[in-house]
Amino acid sequence: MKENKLRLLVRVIEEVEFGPKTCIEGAKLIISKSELTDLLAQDPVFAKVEISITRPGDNVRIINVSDVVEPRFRVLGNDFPGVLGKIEAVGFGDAYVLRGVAVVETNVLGTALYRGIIDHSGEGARFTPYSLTNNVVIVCQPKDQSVDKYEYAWAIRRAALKASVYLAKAAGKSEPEFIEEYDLDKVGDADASGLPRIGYLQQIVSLQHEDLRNPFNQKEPIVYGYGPLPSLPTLLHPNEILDGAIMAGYGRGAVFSLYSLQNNSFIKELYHRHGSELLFSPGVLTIIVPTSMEEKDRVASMAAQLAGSVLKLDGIVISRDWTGAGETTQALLCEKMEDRGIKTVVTVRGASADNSLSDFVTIFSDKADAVVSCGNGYDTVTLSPVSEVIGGEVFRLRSGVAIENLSGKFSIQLVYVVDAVNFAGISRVTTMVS
Amino acid sequence: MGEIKVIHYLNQFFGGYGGEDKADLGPVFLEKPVGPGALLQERLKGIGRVTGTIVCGDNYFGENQEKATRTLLGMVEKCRPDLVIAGPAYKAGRYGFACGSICQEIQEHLKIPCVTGMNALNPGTAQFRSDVYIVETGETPRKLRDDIMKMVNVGLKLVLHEKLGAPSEEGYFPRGRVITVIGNETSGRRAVDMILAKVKGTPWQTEIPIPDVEIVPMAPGISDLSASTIALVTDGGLTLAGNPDHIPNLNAKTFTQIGVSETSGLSGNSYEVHHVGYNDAYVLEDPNRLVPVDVMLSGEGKAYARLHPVVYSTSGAVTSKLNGQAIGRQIAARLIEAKVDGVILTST
Repeated sequence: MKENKLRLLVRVIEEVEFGPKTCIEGAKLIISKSELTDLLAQDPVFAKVEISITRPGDNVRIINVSDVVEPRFRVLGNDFPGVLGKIEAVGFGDAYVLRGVAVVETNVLGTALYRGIIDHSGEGARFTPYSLTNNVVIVCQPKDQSVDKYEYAWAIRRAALKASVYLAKAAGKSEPEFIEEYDLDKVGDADASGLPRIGYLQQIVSLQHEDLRNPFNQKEPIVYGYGPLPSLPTLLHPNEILDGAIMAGYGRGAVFSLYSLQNNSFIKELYHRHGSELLFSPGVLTIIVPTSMEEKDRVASMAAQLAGSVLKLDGIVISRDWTGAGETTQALLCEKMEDRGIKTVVTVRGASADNSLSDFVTIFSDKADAVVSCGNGYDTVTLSPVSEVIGGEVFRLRSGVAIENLSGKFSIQLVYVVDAVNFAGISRVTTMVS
Repeated sequence: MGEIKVIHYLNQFFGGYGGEDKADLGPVFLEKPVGPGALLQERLKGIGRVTGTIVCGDNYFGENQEKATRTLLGMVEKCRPDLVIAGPAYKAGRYGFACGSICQEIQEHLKIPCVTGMNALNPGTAQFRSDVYIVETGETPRKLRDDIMKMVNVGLKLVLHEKLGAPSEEGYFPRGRVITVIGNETSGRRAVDMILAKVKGTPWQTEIPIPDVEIVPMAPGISDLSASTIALVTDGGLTLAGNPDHIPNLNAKTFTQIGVSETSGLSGNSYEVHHVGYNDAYVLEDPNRLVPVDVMLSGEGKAYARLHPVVYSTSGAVTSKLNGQAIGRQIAARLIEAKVDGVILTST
């Protein structure tokens, strides 16, 4: 029987610095700046690639963040299938992880859909997990400033993934500090009896921002690389999500980073309690959020059917993507699951710019009686002044307005603080109703 | 901060003047705690005291609201208290109204923190809970001491600018506000805790209560469609080139008007799209995809008489409920003035 066990061999890294050769010495990662730069600069889209290291406590602001990736290297190879690796199932075998390091992808054109900021110090640092990681920041200047925005997004996506694998390879065949094992089959049928079957549903991406006539938008890697996205709900093994099979799509990394998918907190929590308090369903329901109402009805009905008749779930956590379409779909999923007797928890994000409960969500079903808040993306935080800004010259809000004094103190909505509001459950930012 | 000065507001009954027969009592100021004020005083020992009690009849307040409010504000202003405690009013509706109202006025005009208390069934709760801190009480004064304690605890935190806990911790009715906090656990952990509780049937607390939906009644149907004028309205963020009315990409508060030519429809002008929620490439190619002016013009004189020659447009991305309602009312006023009979509202 094929193994479904994923083992993350975790090297804990406390320091990162540039040096002559990329390697790990104890808890220190040393990076050959020239070797990594040359590797990434091979991409014909780029005129110049700059790599910086930023550390916890630095008085630094990283802007135009379009994604964050944890350095990973699968011993069996085939990292990030369909993008770097060949298209083959992942989610099993051993993979080295450099924990405490994050590769930060920036989009200097400012065209990422959800572009973000990481502050290492001051008030903003409290809201992003990446104030506490050692960040390897990649800034790529395109040869042509008027390059197709999807072509550029595709190029920086590949650069970040290549850097992630390159760095993790430095772990070589070294001893991990600890091993995280993800093995659902560890719990046999005997242990399983009496435990509630709990599932998880992940919305991967919404189609509403896509322009599928654009060849580079078509190449956007989301599920096992690029290609037409499944408009019917499907099942993935949770390990596939942890092991790089899916990404949230170009420029959504500020709120749904690949790092957060690799460390999906819903999945990890369900694993923690697998066999003791619950049985974690081996099929994670995944959906692509469609744009038409009929397709939303279809995907929700079919997902509820799978949850009930196939997975036989007692309960399910329904998470989401950023969009309003995702929220509508979430509400439909909740109703249809509850109608079948499957208990639901719905994880939401707020859209209230004036701190009012009535604008928080557009879910109106009284079946949504167990709601977890992943934070209010439209509440503001005041960032503290910094000495240095990396990641471009301009940071533009989605309204089109550019931030005036980038290194100064300014208020900004939480949607722009990377993973402050996050849909893989990794953030502790939440909401109190008062 | 020195001694905390508290003014206590009571009605005629709790103030010791009498029952219904004394409900017409005009405002009286006493320089000491009265009735339940003794419990207030007890709680404040060591940190402050009740420097005065204002008693006012429930009917007097209800029937002379403006005058009574002016008098009461004057009395409070003269005392310069740090905090005002009103009631608790329990289930008494007129008393609840007076407490909620006077607290709201004092907060707004004198900027002094206020706390009152009443039961969930008191109409004053629904009316004032968004603006005034109302501690939840039972229906009767059976637990008066506890109720007063909670009211003072909330009040002191307001006065001392200490962080107020969640409504369920402190005992006040949620005010419909949301505050961002950084918790101890990830949302992943909290979601799994919650699903387990729900499946096992043990109690859980939803983090976001789903608000009640206001059902908007449907307008009556068009009596004679063949004679009617139909207008197109959209929240897809279409604007004339240059966005003359500055429609934002999200959080809109206004709308714009786009003239439609009888002969050439939408062509003859160039357009922009201001809306973060969808890819505008298709609409920029042909705005009729968002507002089907071409189809509506070709249908004139058939099922309906004519297409109104103005399209009303705003951006519907992340629109607050209040702003949405305001924009809707403004557009409706224009439609009524133009004698439009029906609207096709297009979205994305």
